[in-house]
Amino acid sequence: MTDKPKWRPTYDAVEGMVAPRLEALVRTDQFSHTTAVMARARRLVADQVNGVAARFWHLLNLPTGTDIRRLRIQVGALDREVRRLSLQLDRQARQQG
Amino acid sequence: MAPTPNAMSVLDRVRREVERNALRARNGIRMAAGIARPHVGQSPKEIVWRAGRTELWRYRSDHVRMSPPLLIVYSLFNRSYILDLRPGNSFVEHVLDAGFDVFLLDWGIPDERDANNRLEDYVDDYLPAALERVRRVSESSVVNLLGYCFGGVLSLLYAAHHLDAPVRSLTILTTPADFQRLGPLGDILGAIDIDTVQDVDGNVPAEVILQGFRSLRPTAEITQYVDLWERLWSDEYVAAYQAMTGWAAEQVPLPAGVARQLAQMVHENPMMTDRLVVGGDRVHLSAVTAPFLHVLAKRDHIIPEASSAPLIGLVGSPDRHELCLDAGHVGLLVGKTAARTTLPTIIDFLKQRSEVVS
Repeated sequence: MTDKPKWRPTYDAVEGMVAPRLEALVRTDQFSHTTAVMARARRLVADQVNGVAARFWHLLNLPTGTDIRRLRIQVGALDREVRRLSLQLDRQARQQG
Repeated sequence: MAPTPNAMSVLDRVRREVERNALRARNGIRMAAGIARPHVGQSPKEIVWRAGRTELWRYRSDHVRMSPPLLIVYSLFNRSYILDLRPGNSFVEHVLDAGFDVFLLDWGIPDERDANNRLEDYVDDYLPAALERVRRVSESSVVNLLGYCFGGVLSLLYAAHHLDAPVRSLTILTTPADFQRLGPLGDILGAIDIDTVQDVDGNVPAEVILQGFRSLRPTAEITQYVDLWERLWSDEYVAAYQAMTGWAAEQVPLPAGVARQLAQMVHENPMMTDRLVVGGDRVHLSAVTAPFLHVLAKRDHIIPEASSAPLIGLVGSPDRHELCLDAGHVGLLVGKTAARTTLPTIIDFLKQRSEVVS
Protein backbone atom coordinates (compact mmCIF):
# COMPACT_ATOMS: atom_id res chain seq x y z
CA MET A 1 0.00 0.00 0.00
CA THR A 2 1.56 3.29 -1.06
CA ASP A 3 1.56 6.37 1.17
CA LYS A 4 1.14 8.73 -1.78
CA PRO A 5 -2.32 10.26 -2.13
CA LYS A 6 -4.15 9.60 -5.39
CA TRP A 7 -3.93 13.22 -6.55
CA ARG A 8 -0.16 13.37 -6.22
CA PRO A 9 0.79 11.68 -9.54
CA THR A 10 -1.52 14.15 -11.34
CA TYR A 11 0.23 17.10 -9.69
CA ASP A 12 3.67 15.62 -10.45
CA ALA A 13 2.71 15.11 -14.10
CA VAL A 14 1.46 18.71 -14.49
CA GLU A 15 4.46 20.09 -12.65
CA GLY A 16 6.76 17.94 -14.78
CA MET A 17 5.27 19.55 -17.90
CA VAL A 18 5.14 23.14 -16.67
CA ALA A 19 8.42 23.43 -14.73
CA PRO A 20 10.86 22.82 -17.64
CA ARG A 21 9.01 25.40 -19.77
CA LEU A 22 9.12 28.02 -17.03
CA GLU A 23 12.77 27.25 -16.30
CA ALA A 24 13.57 27.57 -20.02
CA LEU A 25 11.80 30.93 -20.05
CA VAL A 26 13.88 32.11 -17.09
CA ARG A 27 17.02 31.07 -18.95
CA THR A 28 16.33 33.27 -21.97
CA ASP A 29 18.19 36.54 -22.57
CA GLN A 30 14.81 38.20 -22.89
CA PHE A 31 13.94 37.30 -19.29
CA SER A 32 17.13 38.79 -17.83
CA HIS A 33 16.70 41.94 -19.95
CA THR A 34 13.02 42.25 -18.95
CA THR A 35 14.03 41.86 -15.29
CA ALA A 36 16.61 44.62 -15.72
CA VAL A 37 14.12 46.92 -17.48
CA MET A 38 11.49 46.29 -14.78
CA ALA A 39 14.03 47.08 -12.05
CA ARG A 40 14.89 50.36 -13.82
CA ALA A 41 11.21 51.25 -14.25
CA ARG A 42 10.45 50.49 -10.60
CA ARG A 43 13.39 52.65 -9.54
CA LEU A 44 12.24 55.50 -11.79
CA VAL A 45 8.72 55.46 -10.32
CA ALA A 46 10.08 55.29 -6.76
CA ASP A 47 12.42 58.22 -7.47
CA GLN A 48 9.54 60.29 -8.86
CA VAL A 49 7.33 59.59 -5.84
CA ASN A 50 10.19 60.30 -3.42
CA GLY A 51 11.00 63.50 -5.33
CA VAL A 52 7.47 64.85 -4.88
CA ALA A 53 7.43 63.96 -1.19
CA ALA A 54 10.91 65.46 -0.73
CA ARG A 55 9.88 68.77 -2.32
CA PHE A 56 6.97 69.02 0.12
CA TRP A 57 9.11 68.38 3.22
CA HIS A 58 11.90 70.65 1.97
CA LEU A 59 9.33 73.48 1.60
CA LEU A 60 8.83 73.12 5.35
CA ASN A 61 12.63 73.05 5.76
CA LEU A 62 12.46 69.50 7.07
CA PRO A 63 14.69 66.59 6.04
CA THR A 64 13.16 63.58 4.33
CA GLY A 65 13.77 59.93 5.11
CA THR A 66 15.93 59.80 1.99
CA ASP A 67 18.08 62.68 3.31
CA ILE A 68 18.63 60.82 6.57
CA ARG A 69 19.47 57.58 4.77
CA ARG A 70 21.90 59.38 2.48
CA LEU A 71 23.59 60.79 5.55
CA ARG A 72 23.71 57.34 7.13
CA ILE A 73 25.38 55.94 4.01
CA GLN A 74 27.99 58.70 4.22
CA VAL A 75 28.57 57.94 7.89
CA GLY A 76 28.64 54.26 6.92
CA ALA A 77 31.41 54.92 4.38
CA LEU A 78 33.43 56.63 7.12
CA ASP A 79 32.71 53.74 9.48
CA ARG A 80 34.07 51.33 6.86
CA GLU A 81 37.27 53.35 6.44
CA VAL A 82 37.84 53.40 10.20
CA ARG A 83 37.06 49.67 10.45
CA ARG A 84 39.50 48.81 7.66
CA LEU A 85 42.19 51.07 9.10
CA SER A 86 41.91 49.52 12.57
CA LEU A 87 42.12 46.00 11.08
CA GLN A 88 45.18 47.02 9.06
CA LEU A 89 46.78 48.61 12.16
CA ASP A 90 46.15 45.41 14.11
CA ARG A 91 47.84 43.45 11.34
CA GLN A 92 50.88 45.74 11.32
CA ALA A 93 51.11 45.58 15.09
CA ARG A 94 51.09 41.77 14.92
CA GLN A 95 53.76 41.75 12.23
CA GLN A 96 56.01 44.09 14.25
CA GLY A 97 55.33 42.43 17.62
CA MET B 1 -12.74 -13.01 -10.16
CA ALA B 2 -11.77 -9.63 -8.71
CA PRO B 3 -10.02 -9.81 -5.31
CA THR B 4 -12.19 -8.98 -2.30
CA PRO B 5 -11.02 -5.76 -0.62
CA ASN B 6 -9.54 -6.38 2.78
CA ALA B 7 -12.09 -4.90 5.22
CA MET B 8 -9.46 -4.38 7.95
CA SER B 9 -7.02 -2.58 5.68
CA VAL B 10 -9.76 -0.25 4.42
CA LEU B 11 -10.78 0.46 7.99
CA ASP B 12 -7.15 1.01 8.95
CA ARG B 13 -6.70 3.43 6.07
CA VAL B 14 -9.80 5.40 7.04
CA ARG B 15 -8.67 5.51 10.67
CA ARG B 16 -5.19 6.58 9.62
CA GLU B 17 -6.54 9.35 7.38
CA VAL B 18 -8.79 10.64 10.17
CA GLU B 19 -5.82 10.70 12.55
CA ARG B 20 -3.62 12.37 9.98
CA ASN B 21 -6.21 15.03 9.22
CA ALA B 22 -6.45 15.83 12.93
CA LEU B 23 -2.65 16.14 13.05
CA ARG B 24 -2.70 18.22 9.85
CA ALA B 25 -5.18 20.60 11.44
CA ARG B 26 -3.09 20.86 14.62
CA ASN B 27 0.21 21.42 12.78
CA GLY B 28 -1.45 23.80 10.32
CA ILE B 29 -2.76 25.95 13.17
CA ARG B 30 0.64 25.85 14.86
CA MET B 31 2.36 26.98 11.66
CA ALA B 32 -0.19 29.70 10.91
CA ALA B 33 0.04 31.01 14.47
CA GLY B 34 3.84 30.86 14.41
CA ILE B 35 3.88 28.53 17.45
CA ALA B 36 6.59 25.88 17.81
CA ARG B 37 9.10 27.46 15.48
CA PRO B 38 12.05 25.15 14.90
CA HIS B 39 15.18 25.71 16.93
CA VAL B 40 18.11 26.23 14.57
CA GLY B 41 21.82 26.83 15.16
CA GLN B 42 21.65 25.07 18.54
CA SER B 43 25.25 23.90 18.98
CA PRO B 44 26.75 25.80 21.93
CA LYS B 45 29.23 28.46 20.84
CA GLU B 46 30.89 31.64 21.92
CA ILE B 47 31.94 34.76 20.07
CA VAL B 48 35.73 35.02 20.13
CA TRP B 49 36.18 38.01 17.81
CA ARG B 50 34.02 40.72 16.32
CA ALA B 51 34.53 43.54 13.80
CA GLY B 52 31.65 45.49 12.33
CA ARG B 53 28.84 43.02 11.68
CA THR B 54 31.30 40.14 11.39
CA GLU B 55 31.61 37.61 14.18
CA LEU B 56 33.94 34.68 14.72
CA TRP B 57 32.28 31.84 16.60
CA ARG B 58 34.00 28.99 18.39
CA TYR B 59 31.86 25.92 18.99
CA ARG B 60 32.22 24.40 22.43
CA SER B 61 33.76 20.96 22.58
CA ASP B 62 35.21 18.92 25.42
CA HIS B 63 36.78 16.36 23.17
CA VAL B 64 39.05 18.20 20.72
CA ARG B 65 41.53 15.57 19.58
CA MET B 66 42.49 16.84 16.11
CA SER B 67 44.83 19.66 15.18
CA PRO B 68 44.90 22.12 13.44
CA PRO B 69 41.47 23.66 14.05
CA LEU B 70 38.85 24.11 11.33
CA LEU B 71 37.79 27.60 10.26
CA ILE B 72 34.55 27.67 8.26
CA VAL B 73 34.07 30.73 6.06
CA TYR B 74 30.41 31.27 5.35
CA SER B 75 28.86 32.83 2.25
CA LEU B 76 27.71 36.44 1.91
CA PHE B 77 24.25 35.07 0.99
CA ASN B 78 21.70 33.57 3.43
CA ARG B 79 22.28 32.84 7.11
CA SER B 80 25.02 30.57 8.38
CA TYR B 81 22.77 28.39 10.58
CA ILE B 82 22.26 26.07 7.60
CA LEU B 83 25.58 24.55 8.71
CA ASP B 84 24.10 23.85 12.14
CA LEU B 85 20.48 23.42 11.11
CA ARG B 86 19.01 21.05 13.70
CA PRO B 87 20.40 18.61 16.24
CA GLY B 88 21.11 15.42 14.30
CA ASN B 89 21.24 17.28 10.99
CA SER B 90 24.18 19.58 11.51
CA PHE B 91 27.46 19.82 9.63
CA VAL B 92 29.03 21.54 12.64
CA GLU B 93 27.93 18.70 14.93
CA HIS B 94 29.64 16.15 12.66
CA VAL B 95 33.00 17.95 12.56
CA LEU B 96 32.86 18.51 16.32
CA ASP B 97 32.19 14.80 16.82
CA ALA B 98 35.17 14.04 14.59
CA GLY B 99 37.33 15.83 17.17
CA PHE B 100 38.00 19.16 15.47
CA ASP B 101 38.10 22.55 17.18
CA VAL B 102 35.52 24.33 15.00
CA PHE B 103 35.31 28.06 14.26
CA LEU B 104 32.82 29.78 11.98
CA LEU B 105 33.18 33.20 10.40
CA ASP B 106 29.72 34.74 10.14
CA TRP B 107 29.40 38.00 8.19
CA GLY B 108 26.23 39.13 9.98
CA ILE B 109 23.54 41.26 8.36
CA PRO B 110 24.95 44.14 6.32
CA ASP B 111 23.52 47.62 6.82
CA GLU B 112 24.37 51.05 5.41
CA ARG B 113 27.83 50.85 7.03
CA ASP B 114 28.64 47.93 4.71
CA ALA B 115 27.22 49.35 1.47
CA ASN B 116 30.68 50.15 0.09
CA ASN B 117 32.23 46.86 1.16
CA ARG B 118 34.23 45.17 -1.57
CA LEU B 119 35.60 41.66 -1.80
CA GLU B 120 38.91 43.03 -0.49
CA ASP B 121 37.24 43.97 2.80
CA TYR B 122 36.53 40.31 3.39
CA VAL B 123 39.57 38.75 1.73
CA ASP B 124 42.29 41.14 2.91
CA ASP B 125 40.93 42.51 6.19
CA TYR B 126 38.33 40.37 7.95
CA LEU B 127 39.55 36.92 6.95
CA PRO B 128 43.24 37.42 7.88
CA ALA B 129 42.22 39.04 11.20
CA ALA B 130 39.80 36.21 11.99
CA LEU B 131 42.34 33.57 11.02
CA GLU B 132 44.89 35.23 13.29
CA ARG B 133 42.38 35.10 16.16
CA VAL B 134 41.75 31.41 15.50
CA ARG B 135 45.48 30.74 15.67
CA ARG B 136 45.78 32.68 18.90
CA VAL B 137 42.85 31.17 20.81
CA SER B 138 43.52 27.63 19.59
CA GLU B 139 47.28 28.00 20.05
CA SER B 140 47.84 26.50 16.64
CA SER B 141 50.19 27.88 14.02
CA VAL B 142 48.02 26.77 11.08
CA VAL B 143 44.34 26.13 10.35
CA ASN B 144 42.22 24.00 8.05
CA LEU B 145 40.12 26.40 5.98
CA LEU B 146 36.67 25.50 4.63
CA GLY B 147 34.60 27.83 2.46
CA TYR B 148 30.93 27.24 1.74
CA CYS B 149 29.41 28.51 -1.53
CA PHE B 150 30.48 32.14 -1.91
CA GLY B 151 32.58 31.63 1.21
CA GLY B 152 34.56 29.30 -1.06
CA VAL B 153 35.25 32.20 -3.42
CA LEU B 154 36.40 34.35 -0.49
CA SER B 155 38.64 31.54 0.83
CA LEU B 156 40.15 30.96 -2.62
CA LEU B 157 40.84 34.65 -3.18
CA TYR B 158 42.36 34.85 0.30
CA ALA B 159 44.62 31.86 -0.37
CA ALA B 160 45.62 33.28 -3.76
CA HIS B 161 46.37 36.77 -2.44
CA HIS B 162 48.11 35.63 0.77
CA LEU B 163 50.48 32.97 -0.44
CA ASP B 164 52.13 32.76 2.99
CA ALA B 165 48.73 32.16 4.64
CA PRO B 166 48.94 29.66 7.52
CA VAL B 167 46.55 27.23 5.84
CA ARG B 168 47.07 23.48 6.27
CA SER B 169 44.29 22.54 3.84
CA LEU B 170 41.58 24.22 1.80
CA THR B 171 38.15 22.65 1.38
CA ILE B 172 35.52 24.42 -0.64
CA LEU B 173 31.94 23.50 -1.39
CA THR B 174 29.73 24.42 -4.34
CA THR B 175 31.98 27.26 -5.42
CA PRO B 176 31.75 28.84 -8.88
CA ALA B 177 34.77 29.22 -11.15
CA ASP B 178 33.21 29.91 -14.55
CA PHE B 179 31.02 32.94 -13.90
CA GLN B 180 29.70 32.88 -17.45
CA ARG B 181 28.13 29.49 -16.87
CA LEU B 182 26.25 30.43 -13.74
CA GLY B 183 22.96 30.12 -15.59
CA PRO B 184 20.02 32.50 -15.08
CA LEU B 185 21.51 33.99 -11.90
CA GLY B 186 24.62 35.02 -13.81
CA ASP B 187 22.55 36.28 -16.75
CA ILE B 188 20.49 38.52 -14.47
CA LEU B 189 23.60 39.69 -12.62
CA GLY B 190 25.29 40.49 -15.92
CA ALA B 191 22.30 42.33 -17.36
CA ILE B 192 21.11 44.29 -14.36
CA ASP B 193 22.35 47.74 -13.35
CA ILE B 194 23.12 47.39 -9.63
CA ASP B 195 22.23 51.07 -9.04
CA THR B 196 18.64 50.35 -10.07
CA VAL B 197 18.15 47.56 -7.54
CA GLN B 198 20.11 48.86 -4.59
CA ASP B 199 18.10 49.97 -1.60
CA VAL B 200 18.26 53.35 0.12
CA ASP B 201 20.79 51.86 2.55
CA GLY B 202 23.13 51.23 -0.38
CA ASN B 203 22.79 47.43 -0.31
CA VAL B 204 20.99 45.11 -2.71
CA PRO B 205 17.89 44.24 -0.65
CA ALA B 206 17.34 40.73 0.66
CA GLU B 207 13.97 40.56 -1.18
CA VAL B 208 15.65 41.16 -4.56
CA ILE B 209 18.14 38.37 -3.90
CA LEU B 210 15.35 36.08 -2.70
CA GLN B 211 13.31 36.73 -5.85
CA GLY B 212 16.43 36.06 -7.94
CA PHE B 213 16.91 32.66 -6.28
CA ARG B 214 13.19 31.84 -6.51
CA SER B 215 13.14 32.59 -10.23
CA LEU B 216 15.68 29.78 -10.77
CA ARG B 217 12.98 27.22 -9.93
CA PRO B 218 9.65 28.91 -10.60
CA THR B 219 7.47 26.00 -9.47
CA ALA B 220 9.53 24.94 -6.47
CA GLU B 221 7.58 27.01 -3.98
CA ILE B 222 4.24 25.52 -5.05
CA THR B 223 5.71 22.02 -4.91
CA GLN B 224 6.98 22.73 -1.40
CA TYR B 225 3.46 23.60 -0.30
CA VAL B 226 2.09 20.46 -1.97
CA ASP B 227 4.74 18.35 -0.19
CA LEU B 228 3.89 20.07 3.06
CA TRP B 229 0.15 19.37 2.69
CA GLU B 230 0.89 15.74 1.98
CA ARG B 231 3.01 15.32 5.10
CA LEU B 232 1.64 18.01 7.37
CA TRP B 233 0.62 15.25 9.81
CA SER B 234 4.27 14.43 10.55
CA ASP B 235 5.79 16.54 13.33
CA GLU B 236 9.29 15.57 12.19
CA TYR B 237 8.61 16.62 8.59
CA VAL B 238 7.00 19.90 9.65
CA ALA B 239 9.97 20.77 11.87
CA ALA B 240 12.44 19.99 9.05
CA TYR B 241 10.26 21.89 6.55
CA GLN B 242 10.07 24.96 8.76
CA ALA B 243 13.83 24.92 9.37
CA MET B 244 14.69 24.56 5.67
CA THR B 245 12.12 26.93 4.17
CA GLY B 246 12.78 29.43 6.96
CA TRP B 247 16.46 29.40 6.05
CA ALA B 248 15.83 29.62 2.29
CA ALA B 249 13.57 32.64 2.78
CA GLU B 250 15.89 34.35 5.22
CA GLN B 251 18.13 36.19 2.82
CA VAL B 252 20.44 38.99 3.87
CA PRO B 253 21.20 42.16 1.89
CA LEU B 254 24.30 42.13 -0.29
CA PRO B 255 26.66 45.12 -0.15
CA ALA B 256 26.32 46.94 -3.46
CA GLY B 257 30.12 47.21 -3.70
CA VAL B 258 30.37 43.42 -3.76
CA ALA B 259 27.38 43.12 -6.13
CA ARG B 260 29.16 45.40 -8.64
CA GLN B 261 32.30 43.27 -8.43
CA LEU B 262 30.22 40.14 -8.99
CA ALA B 263 28.60 41.69 -12.06
CA GLN B 264 32.11 42.52 -13.30
CA MET B 265 33.19 38.93 -12.67
CA VAL B 266 30.28 37.72 -14.81
CA HIS B 267 31.45 39.99 -17.66
CA GLU B 268 35.18 39.30 -17.37
CA ASN B 269 35.16 35.73 -16.00
CA PRO B 270 38.54 36.34 -14.29
CA MET B 271 39.04 32.91 -12.74
CA MET B 272 38.78 31.20 -16.12
CA THR B 273 40.90 33.80 -17.93
CA ASP B 274 43.50 34.03 -15.15
CA ARG B 275 42.87 37.75 -14.74
CA LEU B 276 41.94 37.85 -11.08
CA VAL B 277 42.76 41.09 -9.30
CA VAL B 278 42.49 41.35 -5.52
CA GLY B 279 43.32 44.60 -3.75
CA GLY B 280 45.03 45.91 -6.89
CA ASP B 281 47.27 42.85 -7.25
CA ARG B 282 47.07 40.22 -9.98
CA VAL B 283 46.59 36.86 -8.32
CA HIS B 284 46.61 33.36 -9.78
CA LEU B 285 44.63 30.37 -8.58
CA SER B 286 47.51 28.25 -9.85
CA ALA B 287 49.57 29.74 -7.01
CA VAL B 288 47.29 28.08 -4.44
CA THR B 289 49.23 24.99 -3.41
CA ALA B 290 47.59 23.92 -0.13
CA PRO B 291 45.98 20.46 -0.12
CA PHE B 292 42.64 21.08 -1.81
CA LEU B 293 39.21 19.45 -1.83
CA HIS B 294 36.31 20.70 -3.93
CA VAL B 295 32.85 19.29 -3.28
CA LEU B 296 30.25 20.02 -5.92
CA ALA B 297 26.72 18.91 -6.71
CA LYS B 298 25.36 17.57 -10.01
CA ARG B 299 21.85 18.92 -9.39
CA ASP B 300 22.94 22.29 -8.02
CA HIS B 301 20.54 24.86 -9.53
CA ILE B 302 22.27 27.83 -7.86
CA ILE B 303 25.90 27.08 -8.75
CA PRO B 304 25.53 24.67 -11.71
CA GLU B 305 28.08 21.92 -12.13
CA ALA B 306 29.25 23.60 -15.37
CA SER B 307 30.27 26.65 -13.36
CA SER B 308 31.99 24.88 -10.47
CA ALA B 309 33.59 21.89 -12.25
CA PRO B 310 36.53 23.77 -13.87
CA LEU B 311 37.89 24.85 -10.49
CA ILE B 312 39.86 21.69 -9.75
CA GLY B 313 41.93 22.29 -12.89
CA LEU B 314 42.67 25.91 -11.99
CA VAL B 315 44.29 25.53 -8.57
CA GLY B 316 47.95 24.61 -8.35
CA SER B 317 47.72 22.19 -5.42
CA PRO B 318 49.55 18.93 -6.16
CA ASP B 319 47.32 17.28 -3.51
CA ARG B 320 43.89 18.09 -4.97
CA HIS B 321 40.66 16.16 -4.94
CA GLU B 322 37.15 16.56 -6.22
CA LEU B 323 33.93 15.00 -4.95
CA CYS B 324 30.96 15.38 -7.29
CA LEU B 325 27.71 14.15 -5.78
CA ASP B 326 24.25 13.54 -7.11
CA ALA B 327 22.73 16.18 -4.84
CA GLY B 328 21.40 19.71 -4.86
CA HIS B 329 23.07 22.87 -3.55
CA VAL B 330 21.87 22.48 0.03
CA GLY B 331 21.63 18.67 -0.06
CA LEU B 332 25.43 18.53 -0.03
CA LEU B 333 25.51 19.57 3.59
CA VAL B 334 22.03 18.85 4.90
CA GLY B 335 20.11 15.58 4.92
CA LYS B 336 20.83 11.98 4.01
CA THR B 337 23.34 12.46 1.15
CA ALA B 338 25.35 14.75 3.39
CA ALA B 339 25.40 12.32 6.32
CA ARG B 340 26.18 9.35 4.06
CA THR B 341 28.77 10.78 1.68
CA THR B 342 29.73 14.45 1.91
CA LEU B 343 30.48 14.73 5.60
CA PRO B 344 32.50 11.49 5.92
CA THR B 345 34.55 12.47 2.82
CA ILE B 346 35.30 15.97 4.14
CA ILE B 347 36.12 14.67 7.60
CA ASP B 348 38.35 11.96 6.15
CA PHE B 349 40.16 14.56 3.97
CA LEU B 350 40.68 16.82 6.99
CA LYS B 351 41.80 14.01 9.27
CA GLN B 352 44.39 12.81 6.78
CA ARG B 353 45.89 16.31 6.79
CA SER B 354 45.71 16.81 10.54
CA GLU B 355 47.29 15.29 13.63
CA VAL B 356 45.79 13.54 16.61
CA VAL B 357 46.53 15.45 19.80
CA SER B 358 46.37 14.02 23.29
